Amino acid sequence: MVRYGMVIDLKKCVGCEACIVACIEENNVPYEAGMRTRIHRIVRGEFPNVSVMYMHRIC
Amino acid sequence: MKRRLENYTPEWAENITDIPAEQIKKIAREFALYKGVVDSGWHDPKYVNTVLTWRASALLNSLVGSVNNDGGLLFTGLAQFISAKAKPSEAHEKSVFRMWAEKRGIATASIGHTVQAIYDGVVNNDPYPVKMMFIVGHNLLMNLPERKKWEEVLKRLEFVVAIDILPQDHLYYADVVLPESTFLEKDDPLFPIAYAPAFGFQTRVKVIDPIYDTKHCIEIMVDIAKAIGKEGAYFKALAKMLGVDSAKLKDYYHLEGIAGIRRAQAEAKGIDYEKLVTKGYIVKVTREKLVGTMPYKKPLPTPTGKVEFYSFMLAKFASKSKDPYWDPLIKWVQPKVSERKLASNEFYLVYSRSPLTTHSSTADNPVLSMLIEDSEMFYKGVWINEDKATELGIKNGDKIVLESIYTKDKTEAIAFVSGLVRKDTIFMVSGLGQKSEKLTHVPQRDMTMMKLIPV
Repeated sequence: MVRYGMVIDLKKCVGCEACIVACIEENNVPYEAGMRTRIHRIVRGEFPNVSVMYMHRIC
Repeated sequence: MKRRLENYTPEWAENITDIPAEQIKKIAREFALYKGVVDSGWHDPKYVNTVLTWRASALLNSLVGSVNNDGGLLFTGLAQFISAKAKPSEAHEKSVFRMWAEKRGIATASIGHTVQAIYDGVVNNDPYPVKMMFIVGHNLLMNLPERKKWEEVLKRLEFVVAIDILPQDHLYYADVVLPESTFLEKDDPLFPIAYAPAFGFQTRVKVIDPIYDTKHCIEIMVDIAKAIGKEGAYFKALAKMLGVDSAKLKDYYHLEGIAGIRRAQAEAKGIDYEKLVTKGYIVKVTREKLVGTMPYKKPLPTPTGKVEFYSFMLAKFASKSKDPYWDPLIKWVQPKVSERKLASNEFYLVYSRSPLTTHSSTADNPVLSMLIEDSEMFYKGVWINEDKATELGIKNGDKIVLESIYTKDKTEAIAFVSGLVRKDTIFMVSGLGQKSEKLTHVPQRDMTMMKLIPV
């Protein structure tokens, strides 16, 4: 049986959170109780050489 | 241009920007070598010298040839086919905006964009008394700076009518609220496609009939015009604006409503109506025909038809004003905000949008609201530099109070301590701070920059 996986290129993530909304809509997630897809933001470096890494976490 | 720029050396800029001269030189060389592009400035914090800032960026794009070509800044179809041919916009002579600005010698008075005039009109009868306001989909209290002043305006007005789809803050001050249909419940007229390097028209097609007793804004206007016996005049004015025949417009409207207005527009422009309402848009000139055309194969709407560094429009403004912000070539003027020497607990305030708030229209969206709450401190907090926070004894997540030295008003905020901002600057996103209790999904009601920015 085919089992699908998902590959996500984190370098392309800008934290727009559209994937969270798509997950809620597509799977009818009762989001008031909590979401299944989340984005974590990790601040790296010190000012002025500082950046934010977005980490995508799905259930 | 060469003479004007002589004194603006990288060493000079280092003192203002904190960016080492060597770094500036390196960036300049790379920019020239690889035909860089400076994105157009839609949302900097709007300082007094902002026009010059974005003018400088436009000149840089022009210098390296990053104008309306692949890799460069593109002209929209709207700009090329409509704005380029339109007369410069001019406010009515008796417009409260225009009269207010002319009295104060403001260079751009004729355009009539000075919203400050509303405050003086209502509160100080200057340039003349304003007693009534008709507000269409515009939450003054969230969209204009210095909230206290706009609360005063709404309280003072003798009569306020508001058309809206949400129970926003300003509706609490309205004598009459006229509810508009939401986007799925209404047809729209024809609009030129706005933000695309192609030219065409778009519309919105009704999906369902209105669930409640609501109407399209234009329907409300027609009904009011009819009630005061001015329906003919209304359609005459609308027809002139849309470039269609007035009698036909009225007939079509009475047959089909807003869709009739759209049909009259489509006929006048020779657009296949069925195709339009099926697709929602019609492209008349494609990207391939637009990008790389103006100014290379077709002239620009400038006196010489070429890219010009000298602006006659700015020269006209400069001749009417003592302010140095309208230089027709380019020059550097210090922003007012940096004239002040900051005390140890004072900051510059900068702001931006978040992907989760767009003006007031997304104010009551349950999903977006939850995402803002869930985004750690990024959107609901005020960003403060970690070293500065340590000096002031502020920890991440602390409740703090921000007071504006300009408006004297205060707002509560949660500190988001990180290395993302300079020591002399705090940052927050716009669009937060709705008060209306009837909006049930509002994140971060307490923190708003609208109380801190002077009008």
